[in-house]
Amino acid sequence: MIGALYRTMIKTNGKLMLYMGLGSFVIMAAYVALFPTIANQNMDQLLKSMPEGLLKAFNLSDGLNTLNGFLVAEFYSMIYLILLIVYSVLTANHLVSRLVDRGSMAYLIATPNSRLRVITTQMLFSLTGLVFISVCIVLGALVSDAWLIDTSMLEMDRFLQINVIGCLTFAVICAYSFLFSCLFNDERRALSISASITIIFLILDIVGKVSEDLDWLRNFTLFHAFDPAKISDGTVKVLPLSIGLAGASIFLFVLSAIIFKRKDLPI
Amino acid sequence: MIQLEGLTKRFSNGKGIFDIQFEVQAGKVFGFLGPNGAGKTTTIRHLMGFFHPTKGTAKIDGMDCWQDAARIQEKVGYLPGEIALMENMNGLDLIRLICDMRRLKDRKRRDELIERFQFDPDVPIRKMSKGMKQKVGIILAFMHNPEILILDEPTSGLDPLMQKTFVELLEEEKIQGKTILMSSHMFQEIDRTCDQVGLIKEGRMITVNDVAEVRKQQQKVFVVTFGSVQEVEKLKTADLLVRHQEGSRVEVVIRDDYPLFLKTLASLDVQNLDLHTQSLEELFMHYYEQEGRS
Repeated sequence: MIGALYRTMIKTNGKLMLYMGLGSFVIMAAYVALFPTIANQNMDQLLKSMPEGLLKAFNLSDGLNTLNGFLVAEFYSMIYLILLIVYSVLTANHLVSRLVDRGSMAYLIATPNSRLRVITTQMLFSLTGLVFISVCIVLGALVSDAWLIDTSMLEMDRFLQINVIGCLTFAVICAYSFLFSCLFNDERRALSISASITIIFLILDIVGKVSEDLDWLRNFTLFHAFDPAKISDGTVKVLPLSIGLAGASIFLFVLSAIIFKRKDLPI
Repeated sequence: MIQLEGLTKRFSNGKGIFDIQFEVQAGKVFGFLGPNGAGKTTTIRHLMGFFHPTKGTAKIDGMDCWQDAARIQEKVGYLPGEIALMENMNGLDLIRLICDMRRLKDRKRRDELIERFQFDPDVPIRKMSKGMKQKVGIILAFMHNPEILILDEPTSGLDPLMQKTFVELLEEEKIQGKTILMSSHMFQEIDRTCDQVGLIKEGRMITVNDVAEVRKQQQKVFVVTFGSVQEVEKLKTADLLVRHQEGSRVEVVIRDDYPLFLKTLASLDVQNLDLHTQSLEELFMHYYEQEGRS
């Protein structure tokens, strides 16, 4: 890790993560603050009239009568995913393949620092952003739960578990986006491959949830690992899953570093 | 100081560089000359440790350019051929970043260079002109006072005045005993500063020679306009190579027969005399022809 490079990355690429962090803090705080009003309106009656598959797809089968269930349905099923997909894929792309494609990586490599140190710095920066956004989300909920509503309604343990598994799932997405970013010298190619794979994962997950018959599709998507409704139920073994996800992302990051160390850089 | 031995890089399209061999001794200035696409940048990228050779080795100060890339950078200043500075920051931020990445404490040289090239470091990089970016590149390459300078087409993008400033800078570095390798596709650019010249074409070295030798071998084409066609006939009786004639306007190819050329012209009615700008191939026809025959 190179301190000077890390600080420069924060300065030049930190805006995206700052806005996303602040944005999700506000959204989260607003959802928690709004929950008591919504809970009083018997939303569950309305939901019961909807088809089962649809409810499952949007993690609504638990109903909206708990704050956790509400957040899972309203935030973690879509906004959260889109937000972090955009962050993970874009950042990985900006940190490596863009610099290689445009040639400015030359100035970094032409200093007495090994490629390994340069690439590790970039990896740490991408994870910093992911953790920063996740912490903003958690803080948004905690602050709102503690001060904006009368009685605290958040089931803390489960809520934190959702965020930890979510963060680790996206660490894997960051890692494979990084891998493609290291593999391809063409910025657009790297971006389109990691974006397409992630979107395919997302679609497989949604389709698999909507239809019982297509449930098997979910075995082929990374988002199978992140099932906020089930974590909320307590039916997910959080520890082994966390270890698995962390292991996968470490493996992919190490692989990217090896590729970057050995490749020819046309810069 | 810089040694290339049988350096070969074959790209998947069959192009590349083949069996590049030369040595730049400490304190010498080496001009790496070749038309665009000849393999100059590819060779330089091996020296910088960006490319892994298919065969052969590139060494700087005894260290392998691929294995010891990071250590070599302590001694090397590099100016890339394409100026692609990081965006979203201003010039000074980038200079500071590279200073820090080099753990460079002494900022005197850096400020001196900024002053010398009259460069406003606070301008955001994306608003800079090509010439300004080139100045940032020069500062990044020279600010740590490196022993070895590797410069890929260093004067492209600079206006004539700045080119002059740059050549002066190079001459000072040379006096200080720096080892310099600079590439160019124009002989005039390296003629003044270099001790040695390496000619490359289509990925292969054509010759490595002292600049004085090469200068002797280069041919120049003068365009002479005479008062009448009869004058041309008189010129033709002299032992000079007339390449092309168009009425009273002729192109004369001169390599080292200047005295004869001047004497002949002095006795004729010359109305205009011009130097024809030539490509490298024309300039070093002699070498290229030799290469073709062998």
